[in-house]
Amino acid sequence: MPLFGKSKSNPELVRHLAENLQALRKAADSEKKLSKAQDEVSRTLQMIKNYICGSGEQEPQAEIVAQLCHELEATGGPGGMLRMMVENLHSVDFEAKKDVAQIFNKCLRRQIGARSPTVEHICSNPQVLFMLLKGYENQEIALSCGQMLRECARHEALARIILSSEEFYKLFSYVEMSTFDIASDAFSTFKELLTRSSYKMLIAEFLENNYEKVFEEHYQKLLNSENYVTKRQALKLLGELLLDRHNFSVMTRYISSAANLKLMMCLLREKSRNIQFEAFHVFKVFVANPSKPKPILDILLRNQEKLVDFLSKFHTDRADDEQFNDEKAYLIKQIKELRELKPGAEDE
Amino acid sequence: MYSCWNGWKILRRINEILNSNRQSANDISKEEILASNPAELCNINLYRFGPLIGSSCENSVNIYAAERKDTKKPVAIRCVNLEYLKIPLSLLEDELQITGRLHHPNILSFLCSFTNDSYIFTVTNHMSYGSCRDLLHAHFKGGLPEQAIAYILKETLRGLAYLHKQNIVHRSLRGSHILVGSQGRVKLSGLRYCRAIDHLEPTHLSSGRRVIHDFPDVGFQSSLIWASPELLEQNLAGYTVKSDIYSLGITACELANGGPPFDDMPKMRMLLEKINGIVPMLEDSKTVPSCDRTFSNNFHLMVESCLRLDAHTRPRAVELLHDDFFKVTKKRSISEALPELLLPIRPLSRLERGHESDYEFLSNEMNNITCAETIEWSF
Repeated sequence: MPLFGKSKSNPELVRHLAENLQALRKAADSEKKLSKAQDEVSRTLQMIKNYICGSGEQEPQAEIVAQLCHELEATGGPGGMLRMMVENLHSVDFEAKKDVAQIFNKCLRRQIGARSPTVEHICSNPQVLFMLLKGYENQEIALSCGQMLRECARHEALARIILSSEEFYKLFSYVEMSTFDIASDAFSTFKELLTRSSYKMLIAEFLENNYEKVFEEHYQKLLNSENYVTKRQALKLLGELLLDRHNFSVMTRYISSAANLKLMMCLLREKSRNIQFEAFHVFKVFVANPSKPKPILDILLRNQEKLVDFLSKFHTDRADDEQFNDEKAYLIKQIKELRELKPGAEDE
Repeated sequence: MYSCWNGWKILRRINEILNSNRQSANDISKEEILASNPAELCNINLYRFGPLIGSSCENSVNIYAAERKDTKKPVAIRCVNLEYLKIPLSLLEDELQITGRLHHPNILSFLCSFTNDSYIFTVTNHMSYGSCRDLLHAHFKGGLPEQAIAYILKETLRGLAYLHKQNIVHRSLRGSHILVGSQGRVKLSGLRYCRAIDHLEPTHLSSGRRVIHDFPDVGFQSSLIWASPELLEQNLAGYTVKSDIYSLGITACELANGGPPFDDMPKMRMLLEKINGIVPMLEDSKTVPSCDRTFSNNFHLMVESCLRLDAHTRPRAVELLHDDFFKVTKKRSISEALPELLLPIRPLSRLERGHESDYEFLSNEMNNITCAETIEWSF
């Protein structure tokens, strides 16, 4: 049934897509049927995309967009076509994968007044989020999935679902993959979920409630990663997380742990200057803490002279970075002035 | 069983490539097909390194000719040492993400990209003639033959039309970002400053067009000469994909005359001249009497239409493809004509003996990273 030259109504278009996506799965054993279904899927997707995203100079019409998005949610069982498109992403061709991502993202951005109907739709059918996450495991669809996942991560309601799921922790291994483009895409999703400014409270709450699991069980591995890029980016992100005032209680907890301090001190003398530098920005928080717990203070005191000596020689070529030099001078002063706690004053 | 499935995937991939652009079917290389399964290509020991063929970003990004040890297929490998990288890493990440979504015979695609220690390696097809700028440097100091320009720009426009169809603005189109391979394959590279605008909503201010306002990130300085007046001006009206058409016009001048216009003046003056509507022209006997080359009228007209100050009146990339200037390319296929037009330059085919080296020289470089004084902490 040719699609071109004949104008289909929108519900029909979406139904046609659904039928062919199903055919795609059934036809796996017959080459001819498969390529026919594939062609139909690509063409239908392209038409839908042109309707809702516009094409060339042609801008989309709001009414048609609303109608199509609605149809996409209503057709195709639980999760609608959004789920179905993602589910079959690996079997559609290259351009069609991109069309799916564009259609998906456009639907998510749709608003009626203050409501985001597609976000609500996914909230009640969250399995599509986990399919997208799992997409990082498949080279062919990883980048398309990443694109959709990040669009989801813009919405607090969806981020909440992802963060509170077990699947979230898979991201910790995805960011360590040696295939750089995928690892880096996964890292930007990871970072988005942990730093997005529109739901800082949610993130702080999440980090606080899952402190052991996030930091001690998983984040630690990233900081010890064999993968240079992972290590460096994770360290940088850690600095950002700890210094965000929303995460105050997480920071307090992090800088009370002697193990964390030891790790940072080791990273300070990594061979990579960039890693040293990022480690400095975490290390400084331990020293600047006005009420250091005894184990932290003990380590700093045991290394008092070495640290002063080390820091005065640390990255001396960054002469024009005023803030860094101020901070370094402050740290040196603080460490020089460190004194043993008087017995009894420990609980302060 | 497994290999059968793989074979089927490859067949499908070929089909896809054939469908995406029937005219350039001869562009398919084994690497491109294998790109559907790059995981196994992500191993530095699979490649033998040859000579350095290019570098950018104050030498923190180096491109080496290389070949695969198993298939002897030539490739190019971009090596970025993150310890010394002079531009933000995010630029490279964006480049990879955007390029990963592109698939066109006239756009340089990455076969795979992987990390090893502080390096990011990106493997691409080897383009044996190098960039257009290399061609100018190597032999055509006064400019390429007009016909060669027609062939090269036409292919470039195909890639550009594809980008624009996806609502992506290239933003740094220039001679050094147009690569020429054997059999006249022409590919657009330098997608680092690309900007996707499909998520932007058209506004009233921009009379219903999707426009960009931001200025490309650091490291863009070297592309300023090619940038359109509206991009440089940074006003509320913003700029669109038509900005690339202006850059194409400047690139045409560069290829024709051996260097871009405005090259000899201070940046600020170039900016003022562009904004004040001074339109650069091809230099030949018609515009500069002392010049002894003469370009066709069609060439002059094509360049003039690209460089119009009013972006809306510039032709779109797809329209330009049908410009009269490109009629000359219809007589012979590019694979036949271009290598002849580029003589005496010959493509670099095999890795030349004597240049052979291995990944080890990079490892040595890595060990040279200044070690911090070995301090032992007392825990």
